[in-house]
Amino acid sequence: MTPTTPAGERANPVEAPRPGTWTRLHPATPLLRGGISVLVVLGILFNQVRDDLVGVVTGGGPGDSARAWGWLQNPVHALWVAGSATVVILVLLGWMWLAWRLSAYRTGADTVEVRGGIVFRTHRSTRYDRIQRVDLDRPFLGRIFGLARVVVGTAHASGGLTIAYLRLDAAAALQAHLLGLARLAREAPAPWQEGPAGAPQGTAVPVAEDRGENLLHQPNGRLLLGMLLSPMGLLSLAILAVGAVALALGRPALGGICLAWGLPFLWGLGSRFFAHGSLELDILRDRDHAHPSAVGGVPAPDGLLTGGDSLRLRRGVLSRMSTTVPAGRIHALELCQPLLWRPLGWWRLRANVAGSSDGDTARAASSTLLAVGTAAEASRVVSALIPGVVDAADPSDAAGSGYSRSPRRVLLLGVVSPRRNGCRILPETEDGRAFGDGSSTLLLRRGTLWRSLSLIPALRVQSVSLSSGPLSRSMGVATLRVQTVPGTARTWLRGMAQPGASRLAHDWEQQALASLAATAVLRDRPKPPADSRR
Amino acid sequence: MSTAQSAPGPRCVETPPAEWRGNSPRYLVMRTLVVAVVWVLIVAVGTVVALLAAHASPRNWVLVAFPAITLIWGACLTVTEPRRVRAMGYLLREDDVVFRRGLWFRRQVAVPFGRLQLAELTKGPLDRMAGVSALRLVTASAGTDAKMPGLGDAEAASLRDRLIELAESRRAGL
Repeated sequence: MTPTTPAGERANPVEAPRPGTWTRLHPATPLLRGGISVLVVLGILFNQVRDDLVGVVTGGGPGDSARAWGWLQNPVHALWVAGSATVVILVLLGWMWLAWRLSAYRTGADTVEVRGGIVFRTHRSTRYDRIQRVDLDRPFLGRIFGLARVVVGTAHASGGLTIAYLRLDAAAALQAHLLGLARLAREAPAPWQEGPAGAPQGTAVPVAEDRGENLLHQPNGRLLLGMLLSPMGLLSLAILAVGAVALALGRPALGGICLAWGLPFLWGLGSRFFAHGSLELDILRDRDHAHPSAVGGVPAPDGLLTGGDSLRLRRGVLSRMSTTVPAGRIHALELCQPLLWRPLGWWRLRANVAGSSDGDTARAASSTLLAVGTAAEASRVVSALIPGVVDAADPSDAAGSGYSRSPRRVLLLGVVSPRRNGCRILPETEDGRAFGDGSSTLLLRRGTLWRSLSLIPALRVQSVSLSSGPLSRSMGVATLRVQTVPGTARTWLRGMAQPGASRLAHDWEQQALASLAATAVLRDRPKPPADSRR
Repeated sequence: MSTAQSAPGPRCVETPPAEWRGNSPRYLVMRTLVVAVVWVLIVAVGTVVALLAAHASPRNWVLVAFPAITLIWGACLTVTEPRRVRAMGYLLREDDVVFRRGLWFRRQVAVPFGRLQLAELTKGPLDRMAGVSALRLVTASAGTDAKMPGLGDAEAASLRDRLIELAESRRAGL
């Protein structure tokens, strides 16, 4: 199963994917997509039953290896064994060859299609104008062979398809090709549809060059240290330490229990480390996309959130996963800092991303933009998304000037940090009210021990609510909740002093309305076709 | 009536209470009856159990405290139910719709028309008897939880149509 097997169809890989023709995947694909696990399972099974098998075949008791060896000395018997092993291997190879022969992909006139399967045939297709992202993944096994897979994602989680595996260069070329086709389809649907049924001529197919603009590149040492200093890391370290001490003192029972408890924690920690390590964060600029502020005539923040740009996360120590998050789908951000990170000045950055709740764990992790980041890195990412805000509101600033803070009495409600619990709308005018154009961001700060700062751009607010129970009402406070798409970033604040909270909720909703009006104006300009992009 | 307990709920909207629209009086009666019946049943079951227990052993007379407490609690809830129903309301403004509810635990939520994904009308069996419907608004966020039960059928339908129309004219995607 080396790449040198029949290459007839793959003579020209994907450098210029011929539209409309089916292209085979890399011959090692069946092996990587499950062949190896089949072999491993068979090996384990064989190992389990080997003794019994020997016993049955030779007529002796199980585990009688000397006798088995003697039995094998007979050439007829040896031939039998060798023959059956060869047959099994040939059947497996044949199956894999068939799987390879039957699976292929093609880029058609307006869809990209993948087919595969031997018994259960599958055929998936995705329209170019529905493509939201095209990612290049390099799972560990594939990486060893220099292979990669291309993951096409749509707005709906199950609408995409995966093209696995291709040689790395072919996969990169296909990714660029698909990105180009997707952009073309999005921007000019009409001529595309009207054209002859055939695909566009080779030269006309745009190839989107990689316009990644590197935002940051993280070393792994800090990630590891940061994870060990997080509560989960400390807990697992403590359990393991107790276990080691117990073992050293000759208490095997306690030690064993501790190790048995601690190892899964460590395993979880390790898998998170391997998943989040070697992070590279890029901005993919979509320069052709008109900036809303330019079209609507409304001064919008010059951040990524408003444009058609995306954030690309590439991470993973062993398996490299690439995730492209259209910046417009980021609805809220939260910076948080476990206690022990404070002296180091590190932050975790999480986001509420629309349409990311797709059960695919590798992608669900896209909600964590920075697992561990320095203050500078965190503010660089946040400033790229929402400019100017982090500089104005330093999250590590203990004083919190400019925030309307909670009264001390909310301690009774279980809000332990009234001094830090506060909110603010930025940018603000001199008199501390928000601008009326809907370009502002709501900042919610909380936590004395676990500092946290949520940033919610008015642009994406779904609704605003204010609630209060009898106790909080008697104290004159209320809870403000800003509803965004679901995610891990918190978008609420408890214990806000009442008249202020009402005013803030009102102001904030006006901001949301203003930004809504701005985008609605924008939406009306280019007439119907804009509907296809949600 | 005199609902004018000036805008129950945290006032994130400075509006004269008169502009809030409430739900149908039929819904008020229905809800009050339902609460009363449910609590009467609970109290009845509790009493029977307590009496049976007391019959078995005189020391179990203490158990009568439970139906008694339930009776008081249920009476409180039944008496306040009309106020709770009247505390629900909605307010159509220029660009958004505000829902409020709650007597003790108050909540007010403002939903911009442009964020509306869909408006849903539901009618349970009791709702059908009373001729009312519940309206619920859905945005891209699961937390919006904007609903208004007990609207008269005609009002609910026309409100839904109006909201959809407004949402259509101001749609802004996610």
